[in-house]
Amino acid sequence: MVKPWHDNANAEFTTLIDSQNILGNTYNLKAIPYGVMIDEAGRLVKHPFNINVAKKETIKMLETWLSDPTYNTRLLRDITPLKKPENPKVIEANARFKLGLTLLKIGKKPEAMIEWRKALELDPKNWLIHKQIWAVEHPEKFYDGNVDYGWQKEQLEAEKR
Amino acid sequence: MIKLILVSCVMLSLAIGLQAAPTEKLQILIDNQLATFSHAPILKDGVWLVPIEPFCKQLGLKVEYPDGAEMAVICGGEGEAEICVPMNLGEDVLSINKVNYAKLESITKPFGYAIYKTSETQLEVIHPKQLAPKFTLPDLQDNPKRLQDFRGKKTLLYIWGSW
Repeated sequence: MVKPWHDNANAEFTTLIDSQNILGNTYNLKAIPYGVMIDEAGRLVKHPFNINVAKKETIKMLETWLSDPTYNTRLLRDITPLKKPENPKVIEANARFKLGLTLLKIGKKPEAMIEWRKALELDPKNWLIHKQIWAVEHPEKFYDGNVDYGWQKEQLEAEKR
Repeated sequence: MIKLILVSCVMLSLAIGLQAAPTEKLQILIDNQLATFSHAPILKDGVWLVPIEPFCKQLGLKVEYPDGAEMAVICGGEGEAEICVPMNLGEDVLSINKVNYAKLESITKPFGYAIYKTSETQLEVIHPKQLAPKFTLPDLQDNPKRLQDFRGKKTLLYIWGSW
């Protein structure tokens, strides 16, 4: 599913497939896209941040990081240790989300949906879970050509009612 | 003849100059700061040796020499994560000019520190708490890639989905 996107973008960077939400769990992500910055020594220098590479400020910040070593030092000075989720509901939601991904992988789609719905009840603002449910229930809105973001918006409004 | 002697003198002085050139001082950075030790680190056959006590002190590790045992024990870590690493004197620990030295990696590795070589004469010791969490994920050809494989380059993880 990812390869066409990678190829269409003529991407020269490495693309990795995270089918088990490993990074989502590691960095406690509830939505995407997010950026994480890691320096040459393997140190985390910037926690997950909303990233939009179409924005000039984002590109400028990344260019500064590449060209100015003092910027990396400043980021290192200010960074705080990565926190793990402490809320039991969030911890359970992450576990159920992951279980659902495994169930889907072995062909147990109905069981996966049950886990994801429970996960979403526990962590209703987690868009990764939300979109995963939609993508499995309505693959035509996600994988048949362009992603139908208008449909997602309508879906969200409908669910609020 | 004079020319030959002159050339020989020049060559001799070059040779003496090369022999007398001081070895560039080895440096170790800890917490982004240049660490100073009572005895300098040594580079032997490409392996960094460090004076055990001052180096461990800089990392907050304790060194003990149990009575009657030909070993040094290095302990560190917090609470339940505390570990102790035994090192045999004469094998893992070498006495050089009456100072106990050990391989830098034999001290840092068990405690989870990472080593980053910034140049041939400078190393940086990275505290495990500073390291980005490790992961291994497959690439588009299904080859496993570790985060550590990208070490030496600034890396932006751009986490996205085709949703």
